[in-house]
Amino acid sequence: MRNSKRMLFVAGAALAAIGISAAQAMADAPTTPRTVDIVGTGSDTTQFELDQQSTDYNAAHPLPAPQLYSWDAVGSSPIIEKDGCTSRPRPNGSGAGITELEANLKSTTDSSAFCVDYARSSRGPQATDPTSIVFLPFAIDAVTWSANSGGNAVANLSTDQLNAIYSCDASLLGTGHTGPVTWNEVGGTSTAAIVPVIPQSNSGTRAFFLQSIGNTALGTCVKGQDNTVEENEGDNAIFSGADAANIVFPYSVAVYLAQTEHNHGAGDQGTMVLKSADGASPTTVDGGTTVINSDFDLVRLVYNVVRNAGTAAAPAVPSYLQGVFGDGTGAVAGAICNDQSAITDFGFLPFANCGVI
Amino acid sequence: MSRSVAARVSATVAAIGAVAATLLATGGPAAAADPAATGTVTVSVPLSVEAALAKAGLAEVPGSPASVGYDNTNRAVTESFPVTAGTAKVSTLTGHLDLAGKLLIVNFTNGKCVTFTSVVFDLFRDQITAVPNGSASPVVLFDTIGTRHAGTAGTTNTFTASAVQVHAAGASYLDAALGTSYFVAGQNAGSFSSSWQFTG
Repeated sequence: MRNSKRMLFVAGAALAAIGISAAQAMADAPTTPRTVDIVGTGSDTTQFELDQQSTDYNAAHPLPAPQLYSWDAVGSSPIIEKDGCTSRPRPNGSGAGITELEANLKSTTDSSAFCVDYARSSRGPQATDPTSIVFLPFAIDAVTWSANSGGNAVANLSTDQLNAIYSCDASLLGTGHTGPVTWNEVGGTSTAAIVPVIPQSNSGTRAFFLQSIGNTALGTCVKGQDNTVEENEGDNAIFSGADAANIVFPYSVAVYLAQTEHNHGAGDQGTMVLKSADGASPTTVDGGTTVINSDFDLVRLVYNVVRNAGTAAAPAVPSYLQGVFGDGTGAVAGAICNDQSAITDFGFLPFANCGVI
Repeated sequence: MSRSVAARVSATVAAIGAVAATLLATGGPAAAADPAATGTVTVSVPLSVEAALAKAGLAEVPGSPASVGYDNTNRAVTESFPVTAGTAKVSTLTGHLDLAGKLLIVNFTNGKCVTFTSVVFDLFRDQITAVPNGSASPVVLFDTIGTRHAGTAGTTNTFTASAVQVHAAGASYLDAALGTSYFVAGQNAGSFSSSWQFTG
């Protein structure tokens, strides 16, 4: 049995963080980070939230203390992650960030300094991940499907229907039809074929969505398999093109709320709107604020991934990172988990076991 | 508490439970949209808590198909509610469990009582809610706090909490409905354990 001890939030620290969260979040480091700084790459889903937490952390730990930096998933490329590191293609997505962490590249100016100290990840640990890394959950997100407002989309799709749509195989619905699924086969009125679009292949949101709907092989009708569509953005040209009225696209609910409710990346959602899955809305209103529906089935954790300083049986967070990410047991929370205001301000739900391996 | 007092309280609670079980109808079905599940949620109420309730002229009793028992090892009255459906996930600590049965709370000093149905354990919010008779809105009765453990073994999910406390809204509601000032926020109400499997 896997046991986990739930951590009580440190109210005082959380309140203190509220006061400094007002500072404008930075995207990327303003200059090349020093070798002593703590640097990460990876997920698009958590990039803006980590930008804010980096800003908050650095305000509370001014120079010359080590600074916390988070390279966004998208931007100019290549990048130099730290002083003395070689120029590298900017890692875009959870998978790319984890791969960059696992590369264990070091600075030429300080052979003890890794070029990357952590990876942002919106996917959880997988059986194929090595034991040399550990996943530290810090917030709750959800993923649902989205569609253009005013299009042919229905209000709700089941995960079985989504699997048929992304398999381009209507026969999975048992209706006697074959080929791409049409709206009238899933409760709509239009006879137009649904056009499934998928984010780029390093996206943790893509991995979670496909796993959740039970899809193991994308059909040929799925667009975006050329890795030209960034996750959690509805302003790609494909969303306003000829297929606009029939597109379905997975979307992080937290990022959507950040864009539409919290003015973080406002407008990036384009005209895409979130839809229900398996009969449940991905959002709910709690105290006048629209938040992720904690009863939604496609909820997930989002993580920061660090090197394992312990063993496979007893993983541990490197001591130099514990002030940021906690000690992995919940005894030491770390700055990320103490900065709950940033987590909720970017649309995520707080996770009671924040930072616990 | 002496053993004789404990035994007396236990016997009293058991007797009330038997009467209440007869009086109360079977709990209603869970919300249709939630996946079917089986399992049990148990709140263990220490005899000291039961004695304090009895001293104030109060008693709480689960109604069928929920049941009352006695844990001699821990000297606690156990109130067990069958899990009928839910969305609770231990991996994310989200969702809820729909529970069958009712909860009757009686004030013997003035004859007032309140019956709660639609009992729900909200794993995300760490709360037990229920709908009082004559109302359509749930009341947050208890918070599950303290040391909490979540786990899975095969298809069985478990969640435990070392303490259960009366929630502020629950205390206010109970005091008003029962004509007492006994209930206060943060009051000890026992400990919590649960296990469930999805069957749908």
